[in-house]
Amino acid sequence: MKKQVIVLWFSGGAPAFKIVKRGKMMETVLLLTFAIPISGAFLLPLVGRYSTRLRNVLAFLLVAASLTASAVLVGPVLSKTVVSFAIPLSFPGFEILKGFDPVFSADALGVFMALVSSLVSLIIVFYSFGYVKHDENQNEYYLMVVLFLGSMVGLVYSQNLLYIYLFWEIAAIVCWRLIGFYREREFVLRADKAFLITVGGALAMLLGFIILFNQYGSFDLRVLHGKAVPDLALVLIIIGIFSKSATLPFHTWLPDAGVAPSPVTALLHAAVLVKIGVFAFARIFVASGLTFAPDWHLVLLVVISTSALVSAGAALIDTDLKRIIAYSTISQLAFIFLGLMIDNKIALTGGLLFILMHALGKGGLFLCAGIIEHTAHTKDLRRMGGLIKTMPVTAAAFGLCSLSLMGIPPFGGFFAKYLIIGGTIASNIWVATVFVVGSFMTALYLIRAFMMAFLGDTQAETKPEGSPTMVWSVAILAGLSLLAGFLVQYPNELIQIAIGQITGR
Amino acid sequence: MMSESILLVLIAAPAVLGILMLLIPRPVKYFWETFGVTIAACLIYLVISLWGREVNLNLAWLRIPGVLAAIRFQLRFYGFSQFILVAVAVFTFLIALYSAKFMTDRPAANQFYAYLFLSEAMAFGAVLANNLLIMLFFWEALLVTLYLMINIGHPKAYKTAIKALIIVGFSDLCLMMGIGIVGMSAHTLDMTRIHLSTNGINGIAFVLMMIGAMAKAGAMPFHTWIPDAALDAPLPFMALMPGALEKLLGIYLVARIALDLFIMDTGMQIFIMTVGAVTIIFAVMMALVQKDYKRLLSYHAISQVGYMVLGIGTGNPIGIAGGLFHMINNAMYKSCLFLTGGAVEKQAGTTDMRQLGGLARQMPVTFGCFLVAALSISGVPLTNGFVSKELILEGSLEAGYRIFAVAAAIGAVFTAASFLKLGHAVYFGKPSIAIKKVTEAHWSMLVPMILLAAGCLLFGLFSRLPLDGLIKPSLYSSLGHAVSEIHFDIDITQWLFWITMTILTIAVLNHIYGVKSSGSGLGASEHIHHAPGLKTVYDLAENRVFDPYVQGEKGGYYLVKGLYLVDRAVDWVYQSFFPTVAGWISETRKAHNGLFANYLSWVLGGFGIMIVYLFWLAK
Repeated sequence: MKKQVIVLWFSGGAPAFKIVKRGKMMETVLLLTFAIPISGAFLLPLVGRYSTRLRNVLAFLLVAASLTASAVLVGPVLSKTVVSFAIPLSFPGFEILKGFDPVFSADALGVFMALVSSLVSLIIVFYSFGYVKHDENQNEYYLMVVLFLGSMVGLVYSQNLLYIYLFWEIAAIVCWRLIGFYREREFVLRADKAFLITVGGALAMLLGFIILFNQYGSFDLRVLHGKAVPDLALVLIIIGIFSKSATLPFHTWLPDAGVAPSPVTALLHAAVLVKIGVFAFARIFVASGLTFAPDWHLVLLVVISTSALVSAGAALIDTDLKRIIAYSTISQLAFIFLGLMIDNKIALTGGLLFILMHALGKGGLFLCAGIIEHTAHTKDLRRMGGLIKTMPVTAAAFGLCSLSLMGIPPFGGFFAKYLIIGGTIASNIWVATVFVVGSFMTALYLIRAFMMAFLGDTQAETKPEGSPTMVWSVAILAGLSLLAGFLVQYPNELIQIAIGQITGR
Repeated sequence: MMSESILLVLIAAPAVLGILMLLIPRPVKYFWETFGVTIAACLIYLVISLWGREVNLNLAWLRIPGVLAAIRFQLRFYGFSQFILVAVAVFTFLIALYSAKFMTDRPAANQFYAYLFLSEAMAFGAVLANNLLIMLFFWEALLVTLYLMINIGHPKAYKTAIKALIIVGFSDLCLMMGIGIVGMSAHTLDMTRIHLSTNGINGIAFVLMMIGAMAKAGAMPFHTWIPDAALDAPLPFMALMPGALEKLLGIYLVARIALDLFIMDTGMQIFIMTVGAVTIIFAVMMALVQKDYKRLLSYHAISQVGYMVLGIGTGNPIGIAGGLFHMINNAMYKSCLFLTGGAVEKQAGTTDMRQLGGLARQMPVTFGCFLVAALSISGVPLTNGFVSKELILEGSLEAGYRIFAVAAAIGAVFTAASFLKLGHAVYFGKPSIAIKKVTEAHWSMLVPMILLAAGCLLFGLFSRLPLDGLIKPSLYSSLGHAVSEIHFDIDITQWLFWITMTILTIAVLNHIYGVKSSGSGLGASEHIHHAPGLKTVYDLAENRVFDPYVQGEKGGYYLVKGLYLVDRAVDWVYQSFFPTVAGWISETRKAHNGLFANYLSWVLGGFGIMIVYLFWLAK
């Protein structure tokens, strides 16, 4: 296997192409992971003109195909090989585009992230069948959702900063269309806000990339591996990452984006958008080992600690269900960042595991909120109450997903949170204390939301439960959250290979 | 291998049973009840079948190459865990039997049984665990069943359930933090290989872990959900969780932390003993003035924890043995008392002491059980409570701190006084008109009470039996041959015996005085309730001034509001500041007014600036 899969290293000049049948196959699979959803997405509106049913099935199949392709890539990862391919743009004599080559490689980190994203997206697409059934512009909706996933997967496998930026901006445009999906003026303004902040951040990040290019002559992360990042470039890149991953002080667009259809918010929070920033951090500063001054390390820790507490505080005050869950995302993203920033294996394992657990739990919460939105026709917690009587499955799913996010065993979140905090204690006990307080507040606001929505007196008569596809989706996510706790070794296996690749290189 | 798989069965069997009960509605009345009671009995048999052996199980769970503190699924069955395990199994069995009749008419009976067995599974796991993280895993999972069991009490019970969830959740987080620090200092989470001092950061870990353990047991100030749960949760829950299981688990962990994981220094010992003494006194003072059967008992459930913590805090074999012995004794008589309370509730329809009275004649068996258990908790000679309290007194005197012994003695006076009051008000005197006709409870409810009461007498009369059979083997691995110091004989020539007699006499005299001055058994504590000074404190307590949950809620609100304002301020920058600035900038469009002369002046002006700039460059 090892010999058959060719590992292509782009070495600054002549393309080292050697086509081996088996290896070519794996490369093709890697290409397909993002080529299928990106190109297939544009077919959806055409198909939708003839049959909505066929379009829905096709959208589901496109995401499923991407998931399958990523799953196939687990094989080489487990045998410790990295499938990768590059499309050389520069040749001897034509070196203007040196360092611009698209390079894609399926290392363990990428495969893990792609699996998480496409799995959650698959469930969200399934849920959407029930949710957007009666809305207009469904063709655009499915186009954007599938394109969203495609750009995420493309970003995940990219080894070149320029293409990370490219997919990053595709996601931003898609996200802009989706947040303003219901075309009311207020909603469009919110979408603009999200777009302006994230694109502003992305442009700052691009500047940072250009500084790196000027210094080291390449956008290729493998060339940049282990290099020191100049302070200005670091600040610019971090602005981009924090604005995409909604971290203080670039976070307020995320709660506002709650005006989007619920499956879209689930997609933003759980599967794709905010995970882009986290993943870019992991890719650039952890996996590729770009280094920066230790003082900045402390600054970043302070920023994410503040972000965790401020957003948790806001989640305890707000009364809009979707805004609360959005603030919770901001707070939980800080946990993931913490895991990635702390320089030891335990915290890193926790951080990567939490990407998965958070995706499952948060996806579940937003989809539950969507069901409530449909049946109770409100997002305001003060006008809910007693919903557990009419929608027990949703209530149970909400409860289970909350428990996972709070980090209570036997749910998956427990291991992730314990490892993050356990790892942090060894490095910086004060930060660990702040995050323990943060996770206590996590428990408080989730309990509060659950209590106000599902317990207490019934405020208004509501329809019982949502459509079967919607209820099944949340039940599956809740079940997966629970299962991820008992079977935590399986994702961990992948993560350990990823960490091995990161530290071994 | 055989016996190792039994360890897994111990955890898996009740867990699977619990899940099945949740998923499958009972096909016939009493189906799950019968099935559950049978399984519970089988589990007792399983534990006993391993008795006296040491069994270790070690499986990989979460592998992190190169990190020693990675998570291994380690279980250990040995002298200490066998003791707690058998107690957990027996109490679950008794509660399962009792609840068959008690819960049968309630809508959530199925759920109650499911949570009961899930709790048993988690408790087994927490006690068997030999890896701190595995212990934390099962320990925190108990939070969920705790919440759910309180929640099914009645439609409004969720408030108390959430209170419990938050308080216990907070202490569990402390435990988690403590375990994290231990993992860092000891480079392992294997409980048999951790022996830390209590200096520096390890001291913080010790305190954090102790908070987690003592809060589970219900020590102050993490107790405030228990009295609320007494009124809201279904009664068998009270007998099971605050009455027995949580005490067993909490004190087990306190003992493990104090004896195995850390080597306590004097400062830490005093800290532990102070928590114990404070808990004894304050909780018993609250118990004394309660007017509800269950609520009164719940305060005693807190107060008795103080004795156990005090005993273990002494750090000498006598005190520790006393603490552990008190743990098992308390579980027996406290469960028994709660069960009598449940029988009264079921038969008379209320637990309000103002309406109850004269039940001794109508419910003689219940009264008999109550009497034995009340004598035990008051520490009357020939009962088990007497033995363990004497041991704790002896231990704290031996540790050289008289003040703690005095606190224990004062606590004993008021304990006896409040049970005189409770017994007098409920079983003697006259009932209110509404509940005249009361009959004895169903046999399935009586059997557990009788067994527990008999156990109290057995352990009291033959105290050598539990001391040699349960306590010494438990402590052998931690204390070694020092366990031979542990012994107890009733000796009326010893002054310790007479201290106890004095305590009981004072309690009786106090009761007689109280009844005379107020005219009823219920009013026996009124003179203390309304004593100058105390009255104010009681009023404050009544208004929950001392409840950290309520106070935390108030204080936390301002903190959270502050954080929210930070968030709003950041949002204001995007929502108002930037658009305003953009507005100012767009004011410059007024310069584009369409006049040719205007544009020409712009061009010429610009040209002028360029020229100046070029000259400046040339210089």
